[in-house]
Amino acid sequence: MTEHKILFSGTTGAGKTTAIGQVSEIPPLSTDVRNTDTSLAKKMTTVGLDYGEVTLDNGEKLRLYGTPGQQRFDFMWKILSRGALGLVILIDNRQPDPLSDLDVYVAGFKALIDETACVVAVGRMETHPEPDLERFTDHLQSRGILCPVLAADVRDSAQVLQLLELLLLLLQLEAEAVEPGSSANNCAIDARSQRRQSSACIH
Amino acid sequence: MREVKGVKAVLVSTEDGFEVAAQVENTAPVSRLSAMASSLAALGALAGEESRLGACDSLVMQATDGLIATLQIHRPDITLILSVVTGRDAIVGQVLYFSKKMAQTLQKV
Repeated sequence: MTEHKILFSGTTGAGKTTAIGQVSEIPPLSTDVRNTDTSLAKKMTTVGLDYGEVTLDNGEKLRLYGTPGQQRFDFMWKILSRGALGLVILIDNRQPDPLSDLDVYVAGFKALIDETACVVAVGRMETHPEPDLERFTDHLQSRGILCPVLAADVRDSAQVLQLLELLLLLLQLEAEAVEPGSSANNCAIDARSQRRQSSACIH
Repeated sequence: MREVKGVKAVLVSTEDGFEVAAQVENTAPVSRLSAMASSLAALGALAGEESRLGACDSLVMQATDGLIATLQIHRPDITLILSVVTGRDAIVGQVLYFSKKMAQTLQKV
């Protein structure tokens, strides 16, 4: 069995805790406390981390970590980035400026994005279709980042699993590009995982 | 701070990391410390629960040059976090005793 650490970050209220809770096989660990920030329309907010675990159909076990969304907790972003194999950024399209929100996380996780792979999931597009996915993609490209952007409702576990599978696929493709022919049994991803000093690569 | 030897900063913050009050010796980044205290308190509480040790209301971290004590203050209206940062010359027992006393006072105010 192979284990990987995957990180969820993104806008406060975009659904990081929900996404992990939707797919976790264990009761998710959460550090939510009462929100006192009146600019956010939510009762609870994550101040430490979220944690869950999921095993994919191919037997790969993913350890899922969620970060706090607020920038004042960016020290947790750095801590949680250590050993991560990939990043899922959740953006809430109801916010006034989702593209600027994306910039915050792209900058905050630059090292992780440069070294691994990233998927951007935009939520609430059914009620807030602008900016559309193309604008998100163009925005990322203008910052030299190539990563898939898709609409997702993280309240649906199937959609969260799709995000994770897409992220793993990207990692596999990147690893194949670096080490051609070595991905037959995910060895390339494992090698990358070990390079990032993940402590959880078990066979 | 005057009563306890070695105390460099005393900070009260909300449980989601906003500064409420602070008395610091130098130009310590109070807003950042508030956010960190919030994370530490939440992680400590989670570790206590997961270890089946019950509620974890205080946390002491000893570093090379001092220590940080973090205590939760459960008030009926809001949960606050008291953080005390000291230098190397502080006495752990004394810091904890006065910190708990202060937390009890803030609980009743």
